[in-house]
Amino acid sequence: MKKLPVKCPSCAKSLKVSQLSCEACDTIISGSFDLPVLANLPREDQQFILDFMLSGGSLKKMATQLNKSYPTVRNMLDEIIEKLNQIQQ
Amino acid sequence: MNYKLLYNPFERYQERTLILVGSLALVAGAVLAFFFKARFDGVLDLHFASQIELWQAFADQGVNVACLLISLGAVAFYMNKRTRIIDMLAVCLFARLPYYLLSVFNVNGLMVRISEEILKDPMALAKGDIAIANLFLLLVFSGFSLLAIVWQLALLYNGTKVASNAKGTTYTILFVIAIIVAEILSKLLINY
Repeated sequence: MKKLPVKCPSCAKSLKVSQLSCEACDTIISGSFDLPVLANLPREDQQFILDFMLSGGSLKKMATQLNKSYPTVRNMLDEIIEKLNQIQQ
Repeated sequence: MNYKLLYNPFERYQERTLILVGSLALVAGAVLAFFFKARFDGVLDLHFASQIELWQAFADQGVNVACLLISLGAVAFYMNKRTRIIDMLAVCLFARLPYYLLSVFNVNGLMVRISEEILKDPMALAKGDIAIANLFLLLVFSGFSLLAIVWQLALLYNGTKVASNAKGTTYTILFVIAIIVAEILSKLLINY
């Protein structure tokens, strides 16, 4: 899976979505759309959030899945929350 | 082998495992201290005595763990209000593990005997009159003691850091203060 670029390689500002297309009927939509907040996170953080949701929001289950202790997993979540807060600001 | 587990098992193992291992080690450590007449009279202290009661061996370990829990727990809660007491208990119990085996050095009252010999003639060490075997044993004991202290401190530092997600210089400074406070508190409680 290709990595979605979220920062401009030239000036490092956040990128916007300017075109979306339908692979079934070739419809193309142009405009200026913001990337979802979660898309701005590194891929491993996105995977963590996905696993967290799929485990029903249980850090204990996550700890077992990742073979890490509960406080380590909670710290990982806290760091992602901090990153999301920074992105939203 | 994953060497990180030696100084930071807290990222991987659950608190129940750490508490179980730490508690069993505490009991074993107290029994060893009783048999080899070792007094852990402070969180960073170890002295050998000519006589020791079993309850004293357990009280020493209990007071040391409690003092570490109070002082480091306060730092952890200051750094992060969501710190769980059970994680800090796991840290304080498990981190004492490297210290317990030092008691064995006093097999047949060996360390007490060497200490008494040195105390009889304190200048013997400077004059080089001390038996080579005794000097060697003292050096080995000092080396292992230093290693055990550093190992214990590394475990406490990393454990508190994981339990509270603490970072930065503030945490390091508070950690040092907490260890000094725990040492003073445990010394006072055990000796008076």
